[in-house]
Amino acid sequence: MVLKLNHDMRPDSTPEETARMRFVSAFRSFILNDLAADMRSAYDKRAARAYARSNGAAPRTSGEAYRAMLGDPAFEVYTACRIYAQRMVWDSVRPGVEREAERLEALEATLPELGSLTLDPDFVAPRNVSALDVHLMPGSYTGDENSSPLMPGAVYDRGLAIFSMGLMGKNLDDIGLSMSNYIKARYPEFAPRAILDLGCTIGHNTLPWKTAYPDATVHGIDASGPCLRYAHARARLQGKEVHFRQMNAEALDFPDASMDLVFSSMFLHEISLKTIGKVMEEAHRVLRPGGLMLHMELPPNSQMGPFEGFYLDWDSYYNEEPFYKTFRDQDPRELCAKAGFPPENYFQFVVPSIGIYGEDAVREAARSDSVKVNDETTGRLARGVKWFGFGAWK
Amino acid sequence: MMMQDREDLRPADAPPSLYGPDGSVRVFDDPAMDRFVGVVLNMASELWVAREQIANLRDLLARKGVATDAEIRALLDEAQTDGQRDQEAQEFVNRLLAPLREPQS
Repeated sequence: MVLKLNHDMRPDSTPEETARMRFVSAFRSFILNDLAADMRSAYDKRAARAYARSNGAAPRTSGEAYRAMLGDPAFEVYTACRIYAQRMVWDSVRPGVEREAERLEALEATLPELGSLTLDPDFVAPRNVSALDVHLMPGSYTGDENSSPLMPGAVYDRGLAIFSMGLMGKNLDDIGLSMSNYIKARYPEFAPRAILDLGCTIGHNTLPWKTAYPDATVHGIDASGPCLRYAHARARLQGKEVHFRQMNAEALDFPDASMDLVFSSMFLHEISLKTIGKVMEEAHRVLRPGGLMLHMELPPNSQMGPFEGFYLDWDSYYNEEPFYKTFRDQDPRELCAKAGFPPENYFQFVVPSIGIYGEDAVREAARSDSVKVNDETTGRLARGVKWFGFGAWK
Repeated sequence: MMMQDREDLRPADAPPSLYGPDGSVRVFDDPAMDRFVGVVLNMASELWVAREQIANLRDLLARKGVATDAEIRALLDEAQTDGQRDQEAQEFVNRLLAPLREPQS
């Protein structure tokens, strides 16, 4: 499918571009569903058994499962196809963004004042952003010398629309919608007045918090100035008042005890373990007593089987996300505790995608307190996706 | 970005076989295979683009009652001597077979 974004910065694609997008979206669906199933089958029938013959026992960890799969044809085909499909995602949207650069800037100039955008001209992007093509995205989140001002954000927005195959919703906000609806249902008395989204990129999962808590002041920070500029335009296009600031999550420029909710989605796995520690300490510092730190993330390896863990670890090696496995090897409860959150205030959950399963399913998940993560839908962008979250109260 | 500039950003437990001699990620023992996978997938993509375009145009021609099948076949004879088509074919081949090239610095 070619997902049509529901705001006016969506692409005005040529027929050829539309066809390329449709192909890569269909191809990714084939890889992530069919080739993934073949790889699972190969693991059970061949790779795990061969590993057991050589090592005296079947793989017990995700790392051992990875070593068992290395050299297996199903793994190699899956991996080669997925790497190339990832490059095709960005290639399918970049020409349209280049062609439409002026239209996007002209549209931005017409938008009403709402929320704010604060960029730091002296900001130095951390190396996990500046020295990697994260997600194999050329220029990463910041773009390169040839990028127009809105290009990195537009490429990310449009690329995500292809990448997600519709599983993140028309506004790419399924994670934010699912998480915010879950928190509202599980903690109906919680009424945050100030919300901060860390590493918000284009704000796609920031906006749902403004919808869930319209009286709250919502902030989004990121290391990428171009993504934030696009995020601000995107938010205004949708009438959402959000304050975007270029800032490093390791050193928040917010006063102590000034936030009620510090949120992130798909952020922690893109930073080093050392940085995660600093980020969580900062989250603790800026939260008011009784405030909530909440992260949507990939589930931890310790709670998954070897193959399921290996399947998610893949991105660490092949998708320019080198900290992905290191993060997933941690115990999130311990990470929260090290940052000062009492261990008894930790909680984790699995929330079904609100776009796929509906609002009732999210409310039911909030009632049932489901924590089971070891299945083939949690954290996987494939049919029937569910999202993993964890958090701690200050 | 230059591979040697980001060795510190490699996954902590990456197997040595993950990287080829130039420091980039490889999948197959024979690095040529990685490049040919790209060719095959580009071809598949472009084949779909062509199919979709043809389907769109045929639908349009039929809907408007503009051209018969015989008239479309006659167009092919003209296209064989069309320099514009030759140039388009060259651009098509260059894009399709780009993964065969050495990395361009």
